Amino acid sequence: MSEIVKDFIQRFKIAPTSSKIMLITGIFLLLLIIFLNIFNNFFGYSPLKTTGDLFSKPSIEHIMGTDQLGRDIFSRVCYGARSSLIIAFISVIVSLTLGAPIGATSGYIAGKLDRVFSIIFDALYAFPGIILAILIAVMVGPGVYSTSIAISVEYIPQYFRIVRGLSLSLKERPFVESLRALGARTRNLIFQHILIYAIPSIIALMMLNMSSAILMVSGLGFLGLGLPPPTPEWGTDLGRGRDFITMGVWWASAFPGLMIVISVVAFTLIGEGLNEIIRITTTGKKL
Amino acid sequence: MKKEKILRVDNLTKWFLAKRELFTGKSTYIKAVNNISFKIEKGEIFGLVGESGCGKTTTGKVILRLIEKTSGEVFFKNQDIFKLGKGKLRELRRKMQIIFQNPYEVLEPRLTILKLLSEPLEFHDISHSEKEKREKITKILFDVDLKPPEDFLHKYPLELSGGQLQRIAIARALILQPEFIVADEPVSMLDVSIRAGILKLLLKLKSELGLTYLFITHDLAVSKFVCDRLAVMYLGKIVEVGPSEKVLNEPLHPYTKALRTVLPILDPDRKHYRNVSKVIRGEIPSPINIPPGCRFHPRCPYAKSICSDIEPTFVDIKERSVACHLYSA
Amino acid sequence: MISMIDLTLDVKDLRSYYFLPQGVIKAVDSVNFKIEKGKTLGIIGESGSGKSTIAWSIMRHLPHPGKIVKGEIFYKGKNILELDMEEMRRIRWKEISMITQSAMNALDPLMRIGNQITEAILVHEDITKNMALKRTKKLLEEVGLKASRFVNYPHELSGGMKQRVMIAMALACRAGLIIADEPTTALDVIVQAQILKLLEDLRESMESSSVIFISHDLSVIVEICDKVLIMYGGKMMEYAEMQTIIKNALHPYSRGLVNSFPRINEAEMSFESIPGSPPDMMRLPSGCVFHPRCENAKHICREERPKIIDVGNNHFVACHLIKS
Repeated sequence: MSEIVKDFIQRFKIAPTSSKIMLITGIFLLLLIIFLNIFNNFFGYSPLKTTGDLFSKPSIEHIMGTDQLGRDIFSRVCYGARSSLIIAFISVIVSLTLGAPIGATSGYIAGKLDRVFSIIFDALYAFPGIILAILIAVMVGPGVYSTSIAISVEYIPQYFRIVRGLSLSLKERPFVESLRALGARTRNLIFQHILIYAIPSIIALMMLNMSSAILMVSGLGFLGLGLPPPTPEWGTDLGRGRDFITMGVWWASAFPGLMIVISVVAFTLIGEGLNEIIRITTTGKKL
Repeated sequence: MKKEKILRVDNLTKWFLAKRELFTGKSTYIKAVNNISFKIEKGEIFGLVGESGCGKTTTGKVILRLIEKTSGEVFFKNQDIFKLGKGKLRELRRKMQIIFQNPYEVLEPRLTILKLLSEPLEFHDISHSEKEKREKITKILFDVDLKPPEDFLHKYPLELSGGQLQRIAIARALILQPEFIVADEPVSMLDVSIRAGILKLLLKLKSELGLTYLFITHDLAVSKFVCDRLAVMYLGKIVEVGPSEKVLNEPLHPYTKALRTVLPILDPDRKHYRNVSKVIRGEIPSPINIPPGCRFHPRCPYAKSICSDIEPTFVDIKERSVACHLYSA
Repeated sequence: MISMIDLTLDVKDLRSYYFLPQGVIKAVDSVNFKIEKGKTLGIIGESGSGKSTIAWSIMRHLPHPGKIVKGEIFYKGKNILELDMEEMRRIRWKEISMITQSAMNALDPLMRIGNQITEAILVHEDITKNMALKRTKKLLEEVGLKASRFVNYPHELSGGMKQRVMIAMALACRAGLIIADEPTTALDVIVQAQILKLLEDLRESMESSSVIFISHDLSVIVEICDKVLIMYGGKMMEYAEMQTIIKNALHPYSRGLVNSFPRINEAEMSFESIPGSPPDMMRLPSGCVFHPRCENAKHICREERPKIIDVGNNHFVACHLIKS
């Protein structure tokens, strides 16, 4: 593993400035969100505490104002980060745990098995993600784990594809042939000698999927299919806040929306930055 | 006294599918290996010599069952290797090993030499303790003349030269204590000044460890230096077999004669290429379209009409065999 | 005294380095040699010796990040390092042409080979298209290909045939200097012999051309070349007539190279290797770059880079142990 880290550091050093800026900005934004969440835990209001101060404008006491039940929006927004990030993370982990090993195995063994899996995952890939997520969410009901699973289905084919492609190209390489000649078990080969090279690409894909997953979580929340109230969640709050815009209360929707944008941008920057750095060859030229 | 035959190859054929027509279903094949047979005695170095595309590397890989055969049989110590199940096949790998041509690509750059040499032991559950493993690894590094072994354990392949890498590859093949080794062009990718060293190492290991080699090469001079007996291959067939001295000093088959004629020697007054057109014409045809009759006939200066019709069968002349109509009764 | 015109190439103190982020590779670190009209110089060396870099330097086509940092290259009396890019382009192919190891670097995969040769002729000579076509067909025959091959694309030809096309292109422009960089290395022994025979047969029609023949294969160099330059780690080790190298090489590396060649004719087959391995170009040994592998190495060999000594009879060696 340490060799992969060392390799990454080397690539980072010769990467173009634009990639470095992307990666660092993304990480910074992510850390900002996490920091705000922790900060609020200690110093802020509880996101569930209702006050009589309904619909108050953003002020020094409530920097993002209050909602229809007098709850502090800033603390709801900070707490919502937790929901979104955790659900997105779980779904991404589920996707890669299913997609990557199957992709590696399918690519290595090839033949009929590969054809079957490819057809299944291509079909899944073609299916619009949000509809899939809605269907599953409706079937399994609300909750952290069920929402995670609903979202994860969309990403499984992506890991399958990327890892399968890598597996197909690696299995012809001399070092794999040499391992076979030495008597390596197939599962050793696939997991310790092929899958391992997929790690950098998998991580980059994870980041991009996080940004997409956050949008999905928010989308489901917006449609009322996400976490049950009163759990703070960006999409749900944004959705509820919609009803009050005509009253002039813009802050109930705007701030959750802003947080969605910031987190999506953060993960996209990290993901794209990683992607570019991974594709650097040792002479500094991009592949 | 009959010497034990450690390897027997019977009518081995390997064809690769080049393409299959979508509508007619007609298939085109690369006929890499065509019906070859030979035996290797325990303790000998048997050479497989030929130019690129003759099928020698494919033969080596099929013998180890790294590629599946199309037809024919391969017996290792009287066991049909193509009838073995997965478990038995893995056991077989401990006894039959291979050294590849390209030492730069055979070792994963992200692993240390220690790890690279531990892996074969781990695959076969040999030596569970770290201490035992290390002892074995140190010994094998010593055997391949990488001294002191401790200096190499924590290095990465990128830190080593081509010759050192090939020694590591040899060590990796030997750490399982095999009996039979396929050496596929082990020095062709190495610098000229270090080739002799690696070949001498292979010879030394053979006598010290009681090994038997199938030595694959396109370099006739190297084959004379290393091999006891050799088989010359052309377009997937063996054309001549016999003791290496005899085959190279008194070649029988016209193709072997041609190879011998163009063999360079360091004598500026004897230009080795000067007589090439007298001994051979044209270039090697594609293994997709093999000439009828004797496959060498379009290039042969001695070709008769029978050569384009009928494939020659082997004729035994003392300890040698040759497949050529010049020698048929 | 050789007149300037009869000296096709005169290279003086050529130094070409590659400037990588990790450090500088002194690929060619001061080489000097001369080639007379119609003669062949062989440059032999193993990996990292700098032999290909010499070729690219003469063509002024060093791959990035290479640069010629010092030296003069006189082609027929003119220092080509002083020419501007336009003049250099005119010289390339017309006066100095190159045959590489793999046709991939020289042949356009999308153009028929006949057209490529014809185009090369037309760019450099003021003749009609018809005349150029005729010349192309004649050239194809001269290199042993049927004129009907004119319409083939490179991928339709075998390795040996592609090399013949490259030789035809080099001949097409009747270049004064032909640089052949490992032209037969990727070929099988029989095709290699056929190409070498072709080159020999063409010597007559090429008699005004000089040739630089680069290889790691001593047997090929020995049979084709008049003079030999032996390179190691970017530096000249020995430079002499070919007979001298075979019978009386002075440098330990040269002798080692000769001994690395398996001698099949002798009753006792022997060949030796030189201990150690070719140097890491990023971490060159101090003093004489060959000293770690030299059994005769003395203290001075570790400290000082040997100067090139003239031992008479057009024989030059870079070794502390040789007295002039």
